[in-house]
Amino acid sequence: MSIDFLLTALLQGLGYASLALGVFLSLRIFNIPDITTDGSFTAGGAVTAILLTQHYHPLIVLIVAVFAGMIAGTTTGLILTRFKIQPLLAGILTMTALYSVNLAIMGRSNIPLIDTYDIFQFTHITNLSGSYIVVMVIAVLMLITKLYYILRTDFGIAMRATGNSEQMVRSMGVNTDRMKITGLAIANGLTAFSGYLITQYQGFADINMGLGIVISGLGSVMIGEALFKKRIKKSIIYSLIAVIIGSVAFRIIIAMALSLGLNPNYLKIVTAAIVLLIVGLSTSGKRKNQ
Amino acid sequence: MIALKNIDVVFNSGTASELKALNDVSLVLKEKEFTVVIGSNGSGKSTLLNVIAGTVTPENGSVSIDEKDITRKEDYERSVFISRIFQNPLAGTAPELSIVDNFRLASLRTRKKGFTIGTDKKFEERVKEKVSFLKLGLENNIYKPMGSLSGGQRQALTLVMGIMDDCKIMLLDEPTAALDPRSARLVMEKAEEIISTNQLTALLVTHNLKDALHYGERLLMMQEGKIARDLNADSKSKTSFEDVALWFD
Repeated sequence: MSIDFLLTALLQGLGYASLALGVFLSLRIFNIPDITTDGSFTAGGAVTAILLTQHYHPLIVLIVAVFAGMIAGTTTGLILTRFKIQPLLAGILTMTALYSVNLAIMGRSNIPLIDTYDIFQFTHITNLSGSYIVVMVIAVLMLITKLYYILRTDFGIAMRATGNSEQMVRSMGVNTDRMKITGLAIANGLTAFSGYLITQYQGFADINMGLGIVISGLGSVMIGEALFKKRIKKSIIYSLIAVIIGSVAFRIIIAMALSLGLNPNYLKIVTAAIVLLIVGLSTSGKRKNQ
Repeated sequence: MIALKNIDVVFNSGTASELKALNDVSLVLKEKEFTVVIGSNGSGKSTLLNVIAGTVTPENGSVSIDEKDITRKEDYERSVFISRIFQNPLAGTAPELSIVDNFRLASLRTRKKGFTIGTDKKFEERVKEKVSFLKLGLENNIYKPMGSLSGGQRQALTLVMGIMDDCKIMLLDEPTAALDPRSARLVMEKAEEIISTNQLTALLVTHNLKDALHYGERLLMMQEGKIARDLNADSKSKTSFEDVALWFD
């Protein structure tokens, strides 16, 4: 494997890390399998592409893109809590509806970013690879420090307890419905941020860019957990770092599959198989422990 | 003071399995009074507790605490007044959180959970001091996840968590039903101690008739959704285990 090849996988891994953190938040912290992800990732990308081509400042675009994801998450949260339906169904409903919304935002199915001023040019680093690395690393560091702080605050403790023991947190005065809505909003805001980064990194937004993306987030979380099995129990910071490393490892695995001559048309089935393999391995490990 | 007025609770209303769990129940629980409720399965004793806790909303009637009508308040809004101990000894604590984090949440039961970190050295010392009251040796392990402790330990900790924040009322729903005899005794002794030293208004639902006679001042017996017997401290002390056992025939 060449350095270039690894660098690409690393940058992608860091770009998708925010999405993996979003999946970690909804699935592991809140115990909600949320598949709004596919739609909110594209929503982040769609908003980014349309605003950048209209020459908005990349930092303004960032805020709008994250906000779009948060609205998507809030919608799923409202469906989930108001109508008391399964999280998976709530997520599918929002995700399906978002396809039309995203298409309406974009106006067409693909928007290339040509001659736009994006977040990578904003760094004023002329070396493109250098700029990619700086932006991705800063983004991930900021996310981790912010999340690590929030999860240790009083509000964060209430968040973590909500997915853990709903009866208990309610008896401690926490409105669990509102907490779940907030959690899904943050999770999908993180996902949309990934859409924002990846759109600029790959230089276009596509209506299908989010297709099956929740699986890669899930895979990243699980690879991270498999690699950091012991440590993640000690402190929440290890869980967060595990997710980032999982995201990078996931991209390296995919890149390796492609470099071995895999037909890109089979990428989704390979992705699914990899995730299935990880799930299978981790659950069979658990069975032995019991 | 907790006051229930003409409470009706109907489960599965309008279906073949309709069940009148509480039928026109009125009850006043005086401040600092420890009341025990007994009754056979389906008599409505847990429903009575849940109506006060806010997890069951009555069809008719009103619930008030200190003259304040709380009938329409959600359970999480009532936590301002009420600490709860559950039948499931694991339900009162969050397993993946450490003892300290669990206690932090409990210390904010009546307040807002904000964006500041509250688990500092000073707070940890407070937790150690509170936990050492149980004499279980847990004060040296306050970073352990709750999930690594036994049901008895967790139920005992839930009791202490109940008084981490201002507490006037404690509701205990069969707190020892799922515990082994030794843990059950520990939990009941500590509960009694906490209730009396903090002068709490307490309501204990139990199937254990010995506990019902041994603990508390007032004794209620529920039957088919109504309060069948209501004994004050005086008449309760004159009641024997055999008398109570006969009530169930």
